[in-house]
Amino acid sequence: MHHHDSPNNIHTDNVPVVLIGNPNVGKSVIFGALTGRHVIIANYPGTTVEFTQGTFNLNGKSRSVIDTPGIHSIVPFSDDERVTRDILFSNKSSTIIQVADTKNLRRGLLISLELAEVALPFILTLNMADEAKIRGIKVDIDKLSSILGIPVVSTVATSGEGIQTLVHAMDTARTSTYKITYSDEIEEAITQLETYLPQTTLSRRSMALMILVNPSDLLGHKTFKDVDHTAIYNLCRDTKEKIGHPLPYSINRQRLKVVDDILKNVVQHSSSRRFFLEEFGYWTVHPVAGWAILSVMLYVLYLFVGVLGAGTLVDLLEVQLFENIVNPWLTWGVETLIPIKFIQDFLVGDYGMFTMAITYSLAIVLPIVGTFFFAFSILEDSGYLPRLAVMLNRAFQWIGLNGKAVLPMILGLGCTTMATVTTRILETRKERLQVTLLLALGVPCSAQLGVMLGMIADLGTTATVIWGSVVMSTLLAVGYLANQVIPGQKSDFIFELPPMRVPSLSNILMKTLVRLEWYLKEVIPIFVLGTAILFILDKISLLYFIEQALAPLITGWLNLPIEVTGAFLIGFLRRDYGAAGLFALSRDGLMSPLQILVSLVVITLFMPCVANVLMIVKEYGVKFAIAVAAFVFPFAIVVGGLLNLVLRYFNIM
Amino acid sequence: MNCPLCGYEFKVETMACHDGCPMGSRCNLICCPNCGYQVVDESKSWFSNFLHDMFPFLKKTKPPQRKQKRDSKGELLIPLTHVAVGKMVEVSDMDELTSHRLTKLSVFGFVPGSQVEVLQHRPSPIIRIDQTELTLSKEILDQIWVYV
Ligand SMILES: Nc1nc2c(ncn2[C@@H]2O[C@H](COP(=O)(O)OP(=O)(O)O)[C@@H](O)[C@H]2O)c(=O)[nH]1
Repeated sequence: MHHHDSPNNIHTDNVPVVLIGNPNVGKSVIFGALTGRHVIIANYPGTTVEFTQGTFNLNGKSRSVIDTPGIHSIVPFSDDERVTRDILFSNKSSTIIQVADTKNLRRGLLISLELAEVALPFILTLNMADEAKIRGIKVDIDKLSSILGIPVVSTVATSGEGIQTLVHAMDTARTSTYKITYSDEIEEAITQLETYLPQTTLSRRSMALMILVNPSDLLGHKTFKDVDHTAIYNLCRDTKEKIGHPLPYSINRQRLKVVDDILKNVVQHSSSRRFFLEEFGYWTVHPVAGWAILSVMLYVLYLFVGVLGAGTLVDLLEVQLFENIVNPWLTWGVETLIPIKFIQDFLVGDYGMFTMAITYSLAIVLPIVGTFFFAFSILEDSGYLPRLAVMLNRAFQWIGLNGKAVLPMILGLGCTTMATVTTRILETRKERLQVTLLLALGVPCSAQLGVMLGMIADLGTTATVIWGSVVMSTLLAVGYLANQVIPGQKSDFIFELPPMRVPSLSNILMKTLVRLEWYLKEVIPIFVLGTAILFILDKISLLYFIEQALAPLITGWLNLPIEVTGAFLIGFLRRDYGAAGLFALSRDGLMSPLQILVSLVVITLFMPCVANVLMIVKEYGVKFAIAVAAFVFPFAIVVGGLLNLVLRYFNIM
Repeated sequence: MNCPLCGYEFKVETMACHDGCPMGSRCNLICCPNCGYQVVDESKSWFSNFLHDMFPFLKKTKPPQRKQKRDSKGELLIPLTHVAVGKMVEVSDMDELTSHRLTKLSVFGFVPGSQVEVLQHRPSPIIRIDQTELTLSKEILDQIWVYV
């Protein structure tokens, strides 16, 4: 498919095609197949918070296509579901492609029925036909198409099967002729509500139903500023009392009854074999085997990132390539070409652009994040991560959260800043604040974790265990206290587990590359900036004064060499950069094992990076961000110092 | 319960030392009001619960008092927490759930009449409706009644 981005395409009579569907049904893959663009695919709900837009070629004309966050119903109950509803509202006469999972058609049809009510033209795509086949599920496409009165296409997005048919069917999208008749109470309420509602792109009937399901949401939309809110709320309340059940539940129940009737006509089940991955999925959440699998997984991750990435690859790049070849040559070149000492120092000195910023970012952090991103993409695509929610639910309940909070925490191991955004999937503000605090406090991002794994690899098991348990217990203790201090409510633990899948190699490589590109673009400038700051501080001798001023803290309380001051300072910009500084110091033999351990604990619990602080400000306001910073920084120093005292007192290490 | 030492019969719930005492919520001993013999209350011990989670086979065969009720037609109902792993059952009644929970479950296709299978109870329950697998808290499962 071609991909045009010329600006004149945007304003023509370009009716956008909107992809809509449940989470995890393959919308992003279909989007990619249409546009030829790669979007990072995440195998868990709630991660696409904004929508993605692209263009594709339909009979020589360019059409724009929008990928939306997964929904369970077009009536939103959370922020990411709202995005999708708003797109439906804003695009006049758009064509909708509803993507459904063939093997889970029941939930897909629930949305189809809503789309039929909305009365926008749509096509139904039954994706994952391959998986349905394995499970012995056969859908009669023609019959379904004639029941709903719309085109129905079967696809396997990952292999491209059926995508052409989908493209050809695009112009035949129709509004569905299917109409559900609800119970008398609801039909009566619909009729009355319709008289209050203005004309929009969506049918009045569908808006009336949306209001019955979640009145405050739809009435909050600007289109409904002028309607009589009180009358509508009263009507909803009366209807609810008449029925005796919550309205969304009764409406969904009636829809499901219709869905089940349709399914009886179009779906055939034959005996299915339970295939290996499904079986493996159960083992990963088994009360005993699950822990064993988790340990093995962590150990392999450690071998891959800590030993291979941070050990072998960094050795190759940093020592063999940069220290022995690149940097001596550069130094020689700079010194002969540029006779000015100041510029020489700026480029190749102690805090030089090449000798520090570039060496750290390309030779130390890059191989580490590269291996980590690769491993993480495999875990992400396999569907394993959400299963951790099952295993860790209890521990999280103890600190007032539930298994759902596992996802943002684990994503924090990728990038703490992005994970702060995904705290949106948590339902209550209290939970979001709590997880944001824990992320800022003690969840190291991939780069930092990788660098630290590299340092730990040299220290041995005792140190690893001490580091792990100090960080874990700190997180638990702070989580426990935060649960007492932050007011608000807990949410229910109801969480969908996506199926386990064999990740495709091309997808994993692509994701790793996309993430590395992000790393190179976003992170290296910050490394350069940090180095420049250190360089200037050093040149005007301010670094010396800062070191002297902080000496009681650094050398006294934490008992670390004074050189780590620089590492901690740049740690304010990015924790991984600070960690890289420590990594370099420990390789140069400037720290004893005990000092390495203490510095590791401090940098793990250290201030979140600037980007993360800004994200916290954006999501939760300045006050909370300041509170987090004011707590985390002194806390890290206190814990580090205490650890130092304890280890010395008991003469461990 | 009956005191294992003297055989005296008493109700644990009515004992002030067990529920009324400020320490009571964490206290995992039951003292017989007649002879003072201390019985270990495993259900309140964090350690015992932890062990049972890790090794389900340690669990005593005697299940905690079975909950059951009958629907309007007289059919026997039990909560999902009591359903054996791997058995397909039909949901009858979810009226005890809060409206928020009802709504959330219904968008996953989980309503009375749905066929569900319990895939596991521990460490967290997992159930399957059609091809959707949900993990949810035990407390919610306990409020969903199904046909035996
Ligand atoms: N076997 C199979 N897997 C698919 C198919 N379509 C998508 N997937 C996989 O399903 C997962 C979820 O797809 P994604 O596009 O992220 O779903 P979205 O959440 O709806 O955007 C990914 O791991 C895809 O590789 C398909 O037709 N067959």
